[in-house]
Amino acid sequence: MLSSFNTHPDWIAIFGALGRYSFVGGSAVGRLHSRERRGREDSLLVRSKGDWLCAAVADGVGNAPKGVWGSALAVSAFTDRVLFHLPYSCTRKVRRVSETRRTFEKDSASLSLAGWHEVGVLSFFQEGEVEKGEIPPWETVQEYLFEAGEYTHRMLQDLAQREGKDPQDFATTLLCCLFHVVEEKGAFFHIGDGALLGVRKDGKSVLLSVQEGRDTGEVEVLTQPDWQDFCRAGTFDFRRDYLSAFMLMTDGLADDCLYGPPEDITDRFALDILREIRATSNREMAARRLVFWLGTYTLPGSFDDRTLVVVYR
Amino acid sequence: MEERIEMDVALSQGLRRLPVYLLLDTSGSMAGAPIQALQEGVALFKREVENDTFARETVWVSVITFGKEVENLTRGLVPIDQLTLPPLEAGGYTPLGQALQLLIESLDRDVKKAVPGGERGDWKPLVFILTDGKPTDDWRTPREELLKRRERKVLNVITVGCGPDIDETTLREIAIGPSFKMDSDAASFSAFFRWVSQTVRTVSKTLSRPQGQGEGSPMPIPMPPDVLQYIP
Repeated sequence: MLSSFNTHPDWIAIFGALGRYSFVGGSAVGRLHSRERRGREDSLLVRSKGDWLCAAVADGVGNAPKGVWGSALAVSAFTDRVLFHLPYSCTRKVRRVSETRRTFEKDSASLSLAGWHEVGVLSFFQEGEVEKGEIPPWETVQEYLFEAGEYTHRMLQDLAQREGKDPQDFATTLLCCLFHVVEEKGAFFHIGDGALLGVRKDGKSVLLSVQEGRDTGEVEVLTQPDWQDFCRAGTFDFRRDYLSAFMLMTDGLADDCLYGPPEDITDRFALDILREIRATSNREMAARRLVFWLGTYTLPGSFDDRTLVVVYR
Repeated sequence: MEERIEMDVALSQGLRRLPVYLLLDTSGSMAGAPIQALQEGVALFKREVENDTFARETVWVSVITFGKEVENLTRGLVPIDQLTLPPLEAGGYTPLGQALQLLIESLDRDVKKAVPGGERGDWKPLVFILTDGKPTDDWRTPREELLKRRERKVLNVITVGCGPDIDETTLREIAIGPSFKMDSDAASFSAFFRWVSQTVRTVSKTLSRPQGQGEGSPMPIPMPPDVLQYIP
């Protein structure tokens, strides 16, 4: 059973496993929001349906007064919709992705994380025996993603209308990755900044999706009328592309790890993250360390909320 | 065994800067008290920006003066704490066009564009032009170039005419972005530079938020002081 919890504490960590894949993620409020007591405006969510793992991160645009609502609704509505479309493809007895946890009170003495956040992973369906479903063609999966984008755009418009606000008041970016853990193939939908980063077994990173060609500070959002002209979608093959992990991140972190100097910063960052996550005894601890790091590292000029989800074998 | 909480992760050593350009008229019309007020105003600007945590980390400044000579006093962009100016001297005509050309050269040379996998880009530059409003050289050509950049949303420019004889029509012609006029007394200069500091601090704070300068989100200019009169 899923107990209720605050989806928007200043720090939140998620973790879990599906098949041979694990994931850990975290989202932490940025220095500026923290000082102004505005709260975290990034959102993240990981869900599953059968063998499908669906991870999403979103970034409520800073100038938008309701950006936090926008990002929270975006990850929720988009993952809802895209999983709704997918057949319940499952090759084995389904286990729940992860149980929902309360706070980290037990280890508060050693980690000083007590009461800072709660952990939860929503499981789209209950566990149980199910039949193996067909995996749709990947072109169709991408169509589902676009349709989910359209659906989420409409949801944001409806929310704005109900609240008597401009849709741009809820401006948000969105990056969602849908991954089949048995086929080991994924598809993504992305509008705005942030990045989807693949990490190859040879230690090299590969940018699977990143906003390019825009001037610094300019960003596309899901609430704008012409969002379809700017969203990106694609697929990747975990085995063929020789990957060991992929990472979804919002720009608060992407800005700190995609640009040099040093020239090889993205490779080094990705390898360091994987090493640190794997060095930990369990996923829960890895997620706690990750969010602690996201919330505490300091870099000149880095003030933004930071969100990262890592999916790895 | 107790696990360590810290993570050792490599991060970018690059800094995303907010470039701020001050184009200051040092022509003969600024002789006397105005040039002294200008000097003190820049010092005030530095102090106020340095006192803001977020601005201090991101603001880099370039000062271009135009009068007897046209000069980039800072030789490009410098961190706010390294901003030092020699004593300013008033004299000569108002070669605004040359100053704008120098600005364009610095924008092309010193402002970095983001390249994923490469260098981190700067924020959209913020330019303040303070002039007596009587340019004496060809300013139209460089202005056209700057207007194009502003239309591409890669530049924010505020033009302020100072002095008792400001011609609003000319000011409107030379302006790039919002324009204001003010007197050339010490109190006006002080208020102007305080407002410049506030604007820079506000913009740097906005940039610190996600996509603070996003398309469709205009530069957040604080309410100008009474001494600044908006030219519609």
